Amino acid sequence: MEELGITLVRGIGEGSVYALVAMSMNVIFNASGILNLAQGEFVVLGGLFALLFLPTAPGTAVWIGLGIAVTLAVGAMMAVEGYVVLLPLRSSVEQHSWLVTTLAAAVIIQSLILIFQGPDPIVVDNPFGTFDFLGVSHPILYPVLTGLAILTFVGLRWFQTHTLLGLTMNALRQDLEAARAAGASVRRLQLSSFAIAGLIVGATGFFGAPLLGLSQSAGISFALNGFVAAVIGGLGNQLGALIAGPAVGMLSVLSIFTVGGEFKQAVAFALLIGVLLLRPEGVFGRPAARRV
Amino acid sequence: MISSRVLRRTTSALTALAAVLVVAATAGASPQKPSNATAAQPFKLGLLLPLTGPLALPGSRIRTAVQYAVSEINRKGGVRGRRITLVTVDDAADPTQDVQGVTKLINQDRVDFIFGPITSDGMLAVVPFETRAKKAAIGVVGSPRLTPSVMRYGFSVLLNAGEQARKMVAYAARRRWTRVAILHDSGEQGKSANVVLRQQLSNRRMTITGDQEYNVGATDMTAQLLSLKGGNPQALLLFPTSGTDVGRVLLGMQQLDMDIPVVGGYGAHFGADVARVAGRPAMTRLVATTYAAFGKCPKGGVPNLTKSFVNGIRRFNPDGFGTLVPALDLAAAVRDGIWVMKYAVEGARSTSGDKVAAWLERNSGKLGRGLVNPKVTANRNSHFLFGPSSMVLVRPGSEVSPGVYARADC
Repeated sequence: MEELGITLVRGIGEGSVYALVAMSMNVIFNASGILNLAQGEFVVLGGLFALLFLPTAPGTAVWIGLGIAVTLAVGAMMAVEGYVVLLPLRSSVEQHSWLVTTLAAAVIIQSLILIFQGPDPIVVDNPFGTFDFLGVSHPILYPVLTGLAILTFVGLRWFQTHTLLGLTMNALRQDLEAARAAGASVRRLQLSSFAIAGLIVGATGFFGAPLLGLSQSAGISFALNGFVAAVIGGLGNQLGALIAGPAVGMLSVLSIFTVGGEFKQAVAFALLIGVLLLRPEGVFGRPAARRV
Repeated sequence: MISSRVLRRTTSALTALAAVLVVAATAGASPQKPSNATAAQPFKLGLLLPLTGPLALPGSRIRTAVQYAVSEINRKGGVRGRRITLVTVDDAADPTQDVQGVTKLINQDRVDFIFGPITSDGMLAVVPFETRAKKAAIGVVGSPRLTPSVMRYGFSVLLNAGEQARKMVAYAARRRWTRVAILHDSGEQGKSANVVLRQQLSNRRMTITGDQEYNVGATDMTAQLLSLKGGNPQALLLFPTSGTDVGRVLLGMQQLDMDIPVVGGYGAHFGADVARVAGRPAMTRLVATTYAAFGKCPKGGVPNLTKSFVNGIRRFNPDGFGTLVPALDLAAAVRDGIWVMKYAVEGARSTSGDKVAAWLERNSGKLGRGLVNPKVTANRNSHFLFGPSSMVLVRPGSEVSPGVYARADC
């Protein structure tokens, strides 16, 4: 029963972080065709702000208030990154300069953290303690992260179906050129997608900070695991990301119980390869028609 | 118009002046003062350290210790009269970057000696290049796989992970534990220590109730711990790289209500780093290996050289001293390593790797004077400068003075 408790609470909780990063990647990908390689660094920034600004024993109100402020700040920062990334593209996704610019953004953020914060790991106290479930005590923040992932999914769904901005961003996903011809301000919409993605990873970093292994070099692992979840779920598919993230998390934990901790990462990548072989468009993705 | 006579006189005067200058210059560079010419050339020490990436923290601590040792040596005349200058390459703890870095240090910077890398994987990657170039090196690596046949001209200031494993098992045997579990990280050192731990436990007929691995920097090891808890062990043998990881292990044990002693390798002794994650109360049953100069028995004192080293490096870098405290013993070993380099190059009268290595293998036992870790035991069978006699078990939760811990094996 203890194994089940750990698989359910911690596997899903850890996987929720992958899902959140995957959903934020999808937001940008749908609007611009760009995979932001600096996504993980913004998770670290969210956690770093938690370390810098959270008082020793914050009340829930302070924690949530500060979390919202940090989320907005990271959203604004990612919008700036988006501006720099989009600048040489002129809204086109045919070029691949984004590979270099997003990677450069990741390196710059890492270096800035190293210069101003130093090489120490970012260790944030857990202000909310633990709860007992199936014979094991778990940090309350695991279900909080799962809740955050569900909330983000529902919020994005509502945004994309009930707001003009969201509907227009959907149009970009379907046909960027047609959307531009119809008068959509493509650049502004793409910048908005970066800002929205920043809100998601900023919140993930801040609220998950006590559980995440944050350091100036940790960003790549978040981006990698988020990418795995995004591809398995189907690139661009938010429901796929929401399900694939926790699935990968649970499978990783189960692999520790069955084959040993040394295979944890390998299992996630084996799953990715398997899905790519059988369903290249991802479990929840739809095969894209190609114009000839 | 200038007359031809004036022109002739001016030419003669300039020729004479030039002749005087040539003579003076030749006299200045006469063979009577050959050492001055050599002294003008600095002794280039190449540093191959992670200043970014997952091991940036130990990398920066080690760089500070090297800088401290270099300042000491330069104050006392340098290496064979040559001032040491540092050429630093950041390898980000990545063996691929280690290969690029060592190639640059050897071929482009033409360094005399190399200090680093600090991972066993990195050292395994660079030794072929160092051996080919006959370049002597001292790393901060612990894998027992790094035998003299592998790193012919390479040495290490870190405690051999295999020797640590032997010490840990001997401690478990003295406590009469018969059933133990093993948890180690995914680095080369952790994996090779695991092999030795298993051998030693088997030799002593102790039961291994479980064996698990976690990735360096992992944040939740409860799944591994729960799997180990199922075997009902009397103690956990833990081989980590960083104190933060150890803190996460102790937190996981608390959450699983797993109240058994933990005997850790060197990475578990970084008391302040462990406490930052798990808090001091979680460390009461933690024991870890470290250098003998930084362990104190109840009736014993702290060695004077340890005290003077701690005071010296505090004066050298007052702002960074706080960051250095959890790893003062490592800083001392690194400082000693740089002094050993000086003695070896001067003893061998050469910087050539084969001569330096041969000299150190024969003479390391005579080098203790002035070193914080006075027992240098490198020989033809082991290139670890500090052997089992320099190693003790301490309680990382009981710091008696900065960087010095209460011994667990007195």
